[in-house]
Amino acid sequence: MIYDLLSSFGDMLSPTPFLFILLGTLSGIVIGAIPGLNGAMLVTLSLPLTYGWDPLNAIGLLVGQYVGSISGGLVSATLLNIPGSPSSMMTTLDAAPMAKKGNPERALQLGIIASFVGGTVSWLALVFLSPPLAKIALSFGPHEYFALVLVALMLISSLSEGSMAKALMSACLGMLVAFPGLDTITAQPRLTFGFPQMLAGFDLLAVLLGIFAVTQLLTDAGNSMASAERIRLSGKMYFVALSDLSKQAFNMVRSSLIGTWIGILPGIGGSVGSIVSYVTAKNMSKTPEKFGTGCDEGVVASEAANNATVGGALIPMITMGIPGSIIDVILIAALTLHNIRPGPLLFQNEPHIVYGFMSTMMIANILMLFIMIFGIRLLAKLIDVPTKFLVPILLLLCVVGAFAVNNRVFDIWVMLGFGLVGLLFRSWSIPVAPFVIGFILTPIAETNFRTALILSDNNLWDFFARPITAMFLVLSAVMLLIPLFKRRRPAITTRNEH
Amino acid sequence: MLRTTLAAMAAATMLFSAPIGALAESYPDKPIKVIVPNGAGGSTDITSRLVAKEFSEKLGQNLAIVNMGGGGTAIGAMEAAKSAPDGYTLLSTHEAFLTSSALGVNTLGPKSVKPIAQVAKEVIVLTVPKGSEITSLAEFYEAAMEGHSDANLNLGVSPGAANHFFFLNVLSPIDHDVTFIPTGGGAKTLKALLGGTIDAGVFAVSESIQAIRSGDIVPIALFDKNRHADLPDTRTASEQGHDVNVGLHYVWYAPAETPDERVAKLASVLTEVISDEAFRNTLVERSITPELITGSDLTAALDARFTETKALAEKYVVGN
Amino acid sequence: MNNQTKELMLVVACLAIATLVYWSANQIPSSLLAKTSAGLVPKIVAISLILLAILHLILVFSANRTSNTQTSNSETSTSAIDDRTERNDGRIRIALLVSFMIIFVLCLELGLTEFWLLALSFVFLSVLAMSGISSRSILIAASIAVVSVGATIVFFTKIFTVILP
Repeated sequence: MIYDLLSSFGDMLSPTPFLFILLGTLSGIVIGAIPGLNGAMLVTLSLPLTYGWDPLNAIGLLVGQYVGSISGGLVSATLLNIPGSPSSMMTTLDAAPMAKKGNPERALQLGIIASFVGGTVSWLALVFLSPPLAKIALSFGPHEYFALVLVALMLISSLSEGSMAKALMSACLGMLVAFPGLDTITAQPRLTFGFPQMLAGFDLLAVLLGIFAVTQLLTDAGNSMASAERIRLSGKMYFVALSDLSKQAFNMVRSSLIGTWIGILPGIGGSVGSIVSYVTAKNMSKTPEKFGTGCDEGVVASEAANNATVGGALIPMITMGIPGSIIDVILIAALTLHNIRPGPLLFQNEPHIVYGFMSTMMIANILMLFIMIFGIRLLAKLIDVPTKFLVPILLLLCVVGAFAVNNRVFDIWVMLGFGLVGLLFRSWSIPVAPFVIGFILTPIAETNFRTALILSDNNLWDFFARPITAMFLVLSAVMLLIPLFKRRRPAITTRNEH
Repeated sequence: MLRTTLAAMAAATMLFSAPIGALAESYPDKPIKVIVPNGAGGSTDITSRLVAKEFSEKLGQNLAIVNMGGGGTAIGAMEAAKSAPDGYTLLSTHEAFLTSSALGVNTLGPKSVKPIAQVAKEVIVLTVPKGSEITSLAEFYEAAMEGHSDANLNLGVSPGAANHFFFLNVLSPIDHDVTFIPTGGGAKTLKALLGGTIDAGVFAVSESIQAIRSGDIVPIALFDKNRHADLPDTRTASEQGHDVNVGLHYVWYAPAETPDERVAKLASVLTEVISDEAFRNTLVERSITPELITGSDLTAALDARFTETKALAEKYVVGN
Repeated sequence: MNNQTKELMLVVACLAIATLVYWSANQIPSSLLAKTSAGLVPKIVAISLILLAILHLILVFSANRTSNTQTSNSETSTSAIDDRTERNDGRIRIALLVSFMIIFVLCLELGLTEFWLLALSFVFLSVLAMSGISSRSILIAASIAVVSVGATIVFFTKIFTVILP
């Protein structure tokens, strides 16, 4: 394994893939830093471009963007007091006050270093947890797989913010969107309502482009055009003292572990990771009253955790084909475009892809550290790019991207339709994560469920006769009951999301 | 007498060939769009692109491959059938076009397009996992026969797709009682066979040759007239006393109303492409067998295949 | 629009979609390939959605007293007139962009004109819609449109060999 990993580092460091990782990390940081544009949108928009590439180059670009976009949000959180991407929402609480007090460089550097540590810790988890997990998942047959996917769906719904009924409704709607097209078991058209174009169902990329990119762009278009006031960086060089960093060492590791764990849980990523870790840091701190006034601990906790979710989220994706975060959904779509199915067999059949993910993440993590430490002055200037000019251009790219995959205008309609659906979701405050996870996991769940039924001669009891399957099914039932107990939990979400 | 006949014939040829020549000169004067009704990167896509590259060189005009996947080839095939019949939109597909038409998914059916040429075929091989008790076609039939003593054979297929119909065709001589497991297309079914979920699978030689060479799966019977160069030790079905002939045939089509001269022009260039020794070798290296059929032979062969597929579909898949 | 009607609309929309799916899934004829119909799982999900929508309705109306007072308070206190016109402008911008896109795609679908012309006018009009009409913004919009459409076409057709409609 170590040998494979090292040789993969060698491959990904050769000029072409490295260039793509660099490009990805850079574009990720910039887009992550610009308020209103986020990583999910960037990765979806880049996806059609990677269509004809070597899969490893595509992975380099997209994973680089993933790592970069999670990190870039720090810049606008600090200098504009607006989270550049949702995952740095908690960073604003302490980084912005610290910047106002005249220490913007300190806030940024703490955040960057914490991000790097978070990325590294979760990378180690990715490298050492994935192979044994894949081995376990390999022994799963259709019964187990179905039950596992059910757990994932329940988990994402119960962990979503807000009402669980709404989250489950969102998941159900996502599942329904996955049904139209040719049934994989009986080869019959279903839910096509007589439209031959619907035989292929709703294209994965078109739906994702709609619900991530178009929705976000239209929301941006509707938002206030006034630009926020930006705190300027002073010209002089500044470096955080090592003693300050070592004081945060424990906090960094703890926040990274929390982030990694949240990342592994399906469907939730950066934002939840940083919230949980911030709250934990506050509860465990000797000086909780300083949180929110510009303390080191707050910045570190939030930034270490959100970057740690990246590696954590890749674990279930690589080993089981279950997306650990929203961006993973898009990465799965990217792999599918290249005829690669993420899952336990990936380790056996295409180890270079698996190790490609691992090495890319580390390379991107290191690149992120250097770009952000040394390029911060430039980045600070970029964040008030007028979105009003970007929105139309990006919408055009959405149209072309949706068309490019299947050469069908129908897919553009689908994209536009789901862009509007996304707007409705926002106005109804329905979480979008259960929807996309339901959408991408349903074909897997359904095919496995019905294959399992064929294998066990339509005997439903067979599901409970298998210990692992039964355990998963019980687990998902428990998830459904969670909201009954969490009713009285105080809300940890702050309302400044938009 | 002879001389006048020759002169008359020459005159007649000139008469008939003149307008064709004039048309052939102007056609094609812009790039031709080739719809591949499958996603990019699959075996259909790769083979189509191989042929298209050579084709465009010989034709002196660009061929642009457009992937339009989904609906078991129905979407791309119907799109091609509905395109302007001017010879600037073509379709490159295989048995999946016939099966989706037989199932009624492709509502326009095979009459909506006109075959230009069959360019190549993939020879199909029946395989079992290493260590299986089945070692010959006869034993396979015995295990699949209705009233067999052991548990049902699990056969991995993509329901309604070509590999499903291959099995139905192979099993047609007997009254079978088997379980079809929806494992999916070639690569996924191969994984299921390696993982032990299924007892047997049918594959194109090109997609299974690696697993066969490594000894992970064992070929039982080859469905072709002759043995395959890459599998010299695998006996054909007819050698084993059963005359089953299935295969995956790559066929190029044009919309049904396309003028015959244009189709003829394309067919003659395709004939050149496939006759090219170097190009044949490129295909053979990929375990694909170049096999050219054009004109009425092709129409007859396709009609026969479709009738057969339709009968199987009615008997085993859709019912009446 | 008050919160309660909004939630009610959500519930109605879910019920409508679920009913439609259930009805359509029910039409699928049986197949010789599998004993479980292709409509089974869609029907299960549709029924779940119906149950969830009803549950949500009950939750919203049983808890409306506490939440209603809270949200209405915060809304009236923070929103000034400025804010409201700003929000209206935002809605108009969204509506404009959406209709431009619909026209754009419709023209593509019908094959009315060339792609580059449509894309140019789309970007040009959208930038204008975003920044308001003045001679300066027209100039900016035109240059953005030319550069971005040119780059897009070169990028996709030359580098990624996509055939644009």
